[in-house]
Amino acid sequence: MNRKRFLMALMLSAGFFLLWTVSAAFAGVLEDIKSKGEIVISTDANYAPQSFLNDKGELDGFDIDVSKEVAKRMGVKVKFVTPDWDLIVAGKWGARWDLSIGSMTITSARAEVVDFSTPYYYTPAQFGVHKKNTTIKKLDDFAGKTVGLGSGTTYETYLDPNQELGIGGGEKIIYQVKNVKNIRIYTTDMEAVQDLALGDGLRIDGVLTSGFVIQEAGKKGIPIKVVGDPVYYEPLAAASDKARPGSADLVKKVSEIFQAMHADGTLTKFSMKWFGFEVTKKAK
Amino acid sequence: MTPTGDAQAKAQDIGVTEIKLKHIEAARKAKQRFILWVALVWVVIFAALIILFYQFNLDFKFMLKYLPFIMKGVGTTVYVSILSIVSACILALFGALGRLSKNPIFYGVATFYISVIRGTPLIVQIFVIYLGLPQMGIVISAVPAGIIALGVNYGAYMTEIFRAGIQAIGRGQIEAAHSLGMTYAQLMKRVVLPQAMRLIIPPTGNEFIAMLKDSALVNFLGVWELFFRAVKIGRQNFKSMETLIIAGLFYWLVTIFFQYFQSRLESRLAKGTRKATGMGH
Repeated sequence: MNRKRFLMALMLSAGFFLLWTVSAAFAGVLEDIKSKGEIVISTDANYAPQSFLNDKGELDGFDIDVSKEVAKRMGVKVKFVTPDWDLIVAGKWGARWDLSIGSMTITSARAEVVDFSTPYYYTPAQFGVHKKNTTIKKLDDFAGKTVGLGSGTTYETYLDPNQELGIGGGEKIIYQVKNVKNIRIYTTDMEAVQDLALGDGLRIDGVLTSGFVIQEAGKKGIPIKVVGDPVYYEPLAAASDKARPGSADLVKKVSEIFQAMHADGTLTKFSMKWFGFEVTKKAK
Repeated sequence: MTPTGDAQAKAQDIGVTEIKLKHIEAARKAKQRFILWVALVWVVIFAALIILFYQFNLDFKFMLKYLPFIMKGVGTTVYVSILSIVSACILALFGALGRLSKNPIFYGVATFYISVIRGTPLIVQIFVIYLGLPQMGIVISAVPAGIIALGVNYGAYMTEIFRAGIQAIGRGQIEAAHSLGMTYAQLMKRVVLPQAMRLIIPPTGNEFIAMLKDSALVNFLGVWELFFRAVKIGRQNFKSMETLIIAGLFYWLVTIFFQYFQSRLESRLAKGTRKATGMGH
C-alpha cells in the first residue's frame, strides 16, 4: 500500500523534525552544560569593541573574550548564538542558549525575566551631538530637541518620563535631562549614530548611548562628539533565563567566576586590550 | 496537368517560399534589433546606477574586503528558502484539497488557515513561532523556526495556486476516472495531480523567487544569512550602505539564476500544449 507507506514516512519525518527542534530541559541548566560539555552563550554582535565580527568574519571583542574565559573556568567549550537583542532581553529562551554575555545592563524590569550575575564592567551613558553642532553645549540644551537611541536599551527608559530607570547594582542617575521633545527609536544604537552623522539636526539633534559607542564612532571617522558628563553608569552583567530550572545556580557560578576574574586582573587585562583603559572597576 | 504547367507551379512555389523566407528574415532582424535595444537600455540604467552609487561616496575597498564574508550567506539563504518552499508545497497541497473538500471540517480548517495566515504579517508569524511557542513548552531553534514560519506563510498563499491547478482539470476526466472505479486518492495521484503540476509549477517558482527575499526576515532570529551578515558588518563599521548594496546585489544575482531555471522549466512543461511559433506550418 503505497499511500500507507507515504503517510508513515510523512509522520516519521515529522517526528524526527520535532526531535531535532525540541530540546527539552530536564535537569538544571548547570547540569545540562556539564553533561553537554558546552555552554551556549548569546551575544549581540553589533557593537565594537564589545562584540563584533572581525576581519575574518569571526566573533571577537571584549564580551567574546570574557565569555571564552568563563567557559574555560567552567571547564566546558563555548558556542555562540546571535539572536536579535530584543529576543535576548525578552527572556523565555527555551534552553536555546544558556547564558547571555552581551553587555546587558542590570535593571529591575529585566530582572523579572532573567537572573543577573554580578557586574563584569561598567559603561557611561552619554549624550552625543554632531561634530559641527554649536548650539548644544550642555545637557540642558537638549530641551526641545530630538534624540535618537536604540530599541530596548536603558536609554529609552531614561528619557521616558513615565518610566523608572531602575538600574541595579547600586547605580543611580547622576543627572536627569528633561523636556527632550522627540525620542527617535532605532533598531540599535548604531543606526542612531549613523543618522546623526548625516548632518547636524538633519534627522536628529543628538544621541543617547554608551560613551564607548561615541568614542568608537569617532575613531572610525564619524563626525560625533560627547556632550557633558555621563548621566548614569550602567552596570553590565551576564544573564540567565529565569524560566529555566537552575538559573539562579548558573548566575551564582558565573558571579563567582567574575569575582575571581576581577581579583586576578583578567578583566582589567581584557579591558586594556579592547578599550585601552579601565572599564571593569566601579565608577566613583 | 501538362509537364510545363507542373514546372510553372513549382517555380511559383519557389517564389512564394522566397517571399516567406524574406519575411521571416526581416522578423528575425527586427527581433534582434529589439533585444539589442533592450540590452542597451539595461546597460545605460546600470551605468547610471553605478554613477549614482559613486555619489554616495562608497568605500569600495571596504566593500571588496567584506564581499566574501557576506557572500557566504548566499548558501544559508538558498538552503532556508528551498526547505521552506518544500514545506510550503506540502501544506499548499493539503490546503487545496481541504479547500475543495465537501467535508465541512476539512474545508473549515483549510479556509481558517488561509484566512489567518494571509491576514497577519510574516514577521509577526516568525516571532510567534520563535518567541511564543516556547511558552507552551515547544522550543524551536532559529533555523527550523524560520523554515516553519516561511513554509506556513507561503503555504497559505500557494494553496490558491494548487487549488486553481486542481480545478483546471476537466470534469469529464474526473467522471471518467470515477467510472473506471478509481478511488479519490488514485484519481488525484494518477489523473489530476500530474496534469495540475503543469499549471502549479510555474507560479510556485515565482513564489520561490519571492521567498528568497522574504527569507531575510529570519535574520532577527540570529540566522547568519545574507542580510544578517550585511547588517552586522555595516553597523559596527558605520558603513551600512556599502554592505546593504552587496547583499542586494547577491539577492539579485541569485534571483536571476533561479528565474532562468524557472523559465526553462516553464517552457519544458508547456511542450505539447504550446502554440507553435516561428518557422514552419
